[in-house]
Amino acid sequence: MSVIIRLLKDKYKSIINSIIALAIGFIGGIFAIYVAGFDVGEAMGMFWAHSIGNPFVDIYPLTVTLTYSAPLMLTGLAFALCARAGLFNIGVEGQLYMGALGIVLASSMLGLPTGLHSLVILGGAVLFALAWSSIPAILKVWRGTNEVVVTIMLNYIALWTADYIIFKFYADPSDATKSIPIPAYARLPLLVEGTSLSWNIVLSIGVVLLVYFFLWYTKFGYEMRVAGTNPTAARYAGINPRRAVISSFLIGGVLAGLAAYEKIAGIPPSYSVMSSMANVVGAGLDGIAVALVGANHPIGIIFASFLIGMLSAGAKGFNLIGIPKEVVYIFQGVIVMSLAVPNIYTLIKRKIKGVGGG
Amino acid sequence: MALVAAEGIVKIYPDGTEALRGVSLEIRSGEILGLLGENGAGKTTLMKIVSGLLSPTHGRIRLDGNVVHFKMPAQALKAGIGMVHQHIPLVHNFTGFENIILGLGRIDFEKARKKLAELMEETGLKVNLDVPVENLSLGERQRIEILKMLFRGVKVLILDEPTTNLTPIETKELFVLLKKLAKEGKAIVFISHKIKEVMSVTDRVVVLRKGKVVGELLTRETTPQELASLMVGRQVVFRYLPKERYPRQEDLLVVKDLWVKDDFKKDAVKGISFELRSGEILGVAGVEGNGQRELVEALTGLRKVHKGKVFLQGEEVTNLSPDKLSFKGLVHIPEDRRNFGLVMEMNFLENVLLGLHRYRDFLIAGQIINWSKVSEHAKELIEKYEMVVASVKSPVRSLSGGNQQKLIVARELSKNPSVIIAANPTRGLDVASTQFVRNKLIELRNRGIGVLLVSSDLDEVLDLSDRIAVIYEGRFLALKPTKEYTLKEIGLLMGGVEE
Repeated sequence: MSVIIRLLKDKYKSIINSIIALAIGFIGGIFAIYVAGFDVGEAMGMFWAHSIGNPFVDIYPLTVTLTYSAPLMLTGLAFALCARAGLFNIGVEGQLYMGALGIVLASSMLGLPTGLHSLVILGGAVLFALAWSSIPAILKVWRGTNEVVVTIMLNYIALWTADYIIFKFYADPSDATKSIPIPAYARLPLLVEGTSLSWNIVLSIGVVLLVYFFLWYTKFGYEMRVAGTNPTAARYAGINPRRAVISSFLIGGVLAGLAAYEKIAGIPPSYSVMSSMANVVGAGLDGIAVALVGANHPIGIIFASFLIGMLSAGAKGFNLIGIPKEVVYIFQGVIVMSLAVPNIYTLIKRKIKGVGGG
Repeated sequence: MALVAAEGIVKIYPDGTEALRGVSLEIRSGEILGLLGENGAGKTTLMKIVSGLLSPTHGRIRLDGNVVHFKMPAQALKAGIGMVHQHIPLVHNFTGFENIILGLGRIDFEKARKKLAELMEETGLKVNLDVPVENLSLGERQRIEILKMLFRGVKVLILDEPTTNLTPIETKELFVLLKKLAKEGKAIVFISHKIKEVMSVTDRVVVLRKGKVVGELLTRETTPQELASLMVGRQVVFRYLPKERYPRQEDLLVVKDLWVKDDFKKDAVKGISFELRSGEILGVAGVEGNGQRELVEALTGLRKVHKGKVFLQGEEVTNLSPDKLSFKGLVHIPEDRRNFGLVMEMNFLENVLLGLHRYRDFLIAGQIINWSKVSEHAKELIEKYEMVVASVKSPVRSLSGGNQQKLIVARELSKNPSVIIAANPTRGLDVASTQFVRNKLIELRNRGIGVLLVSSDLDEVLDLSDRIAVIYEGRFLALKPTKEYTLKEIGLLMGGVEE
């Protein structure tokens, strides 16, 4: 009997871990609301009403959540893919900024046929993000630099470079707080009229499934996972671990580019980059939380991005009754912390029970 | 009087395995106690309990007559009980000195160094303390671990299969040291499944079988035969397949003046030449650390050949990658199965595919993995090699060492090789698995495959090889048919003495 329970535990361990972390995160957030003197019942009611509500009566709140989820799915996937290859890729954020820059530059190329121009804009997003993600990959493989440090620095370089170029040369002449918009024909069409939900979500889920297939059903994906878990065994099997490093970064870059495209071409009403990259900032870093909650598994990431999207959507509900919307960062922070430090639990258990007893 | 007494120890692991079923024994000062038993008899589990790494399900431990409950090894260590494990847990990128003082808090480095120098002088445990331990041989790491225990002033020193990774000379030195320590009043526990060693070093022997004590004897009053029958309940003799002469003798692998460098860019293999013929096992005997690892890695594509040439069936294959070599018929059974041959985090199926993933048979359109084919292949291998696996989706980690090794052997042989390079293929395996793997090598040899057997287990090399090369400091000191050697001659050659 205990054997069966143990097997179940192993198989569903990461799922259980994630659920426990979510529970702790919500308890932490609710506690913060309570301590700050707000009515917890009312607050959570508003949170629910603005993130999900009753979709059979009014689908709008759910579409808000999904609008947030879609790009997070891709940024989370980019992080998870690199993690599977044994890398800690913090650089998705910076790649998003570069993707945004690519979109704006491509949008300015008026005079192209509409179909071609749409492709150029999508290509601009992907190529710029890809180019940016190749920098840490090349440095890592050739010079052995640490990808964490490099990507963190590149994030800042990307932020201010993109912001400077966009708002120095490509600001909207009628509204200087925005970049020039993406032409209408290059935008992702709405999925539900009257809401902000576009084909984003379909694109994201499709890409996630594609990556799932790639990792578990292709030779190349298998090689990447082997190289990420055990580089020595990879070499023994004739796999070049460097190739896995480079490819995971590059695929991550493509995903970041697509996320940037979704952020700008797939969310009404502005269809442009806001000053200080306000409508792009954070999606890359939130992706790390998504990947953590989703246990770096593509299918887990679909659910995780929904939950993190829910937090962003529900924040508006808090705001309406006077609770600063930043309170959702408490939820998110506690969730991530409880996922990142499960070892502490094992440690405490050891202190109390002695080792190997369980 | 007993320094440490284990009383009625029962240990049931969470998965239901009964490792110990009521074991009592005494550890006495000034005595070397041998703990003898086959793999899985419970020797290591028992001593992990004594040293605080595991807690018993039932039973208790007394130290100087008082009942103690250790919650972690550090507590046991503080109380004077230290264990040197088979896989030595050192911090790889720390130096020996850093590893020794790790966990001692603020101490005077100069004093510590002086004390260590004295200890080394006194015990003869010489080792370089100022290089990262990852650059040291397993034997040297063990010395550091023993030094660490002595530095902490343990009263009880437990050694788990300490000679596994030692050369014959190192083993001898270790035995001298243990006897000396016992004379000084320390209690030594020597865990082993090697009867010869237990006979030569211990004062008293406790024999464990399947989690129970089946005998307690004074070493001088027993015989190897008695210990053997207690240990296994039967006489262990390896039963090998008969060797048959393979009719077509041709050179499969030809190595010409091979030079290979080690991790520190020093020459490790210095001009080795040989031919491996079809239908023979060519054994490479030698004390560990004489270039065997570099030789094997260079021949299998894992390390760069600095100078010289390698030919496989007449075709030059110098510096080809491991996958290309396996396509051409050269496969590798690595000595370190946890790191090389398997991905421990992955499941059985995914490990069956390792290295086979570039073979067309398992791919659709050359890119997509045909998991149902892989699964078929896995089931075939499980049946053919009599592996015990709960399901093809079980993590490899959950397999026993014997089954893990069988998986590697099965997978590599399914590549249909003409040359096999096997490095310590039976290290750490139990008797049954050892016999299985060795017979497999003989069977392949009889079928005309050439086997290069690089092993630090001299008995293995002597039992299996048609010809033996003795490697010393990167050179072959001799290479001739097994029958033409005397045991004494091999021993001398392994120590670098040429007549």
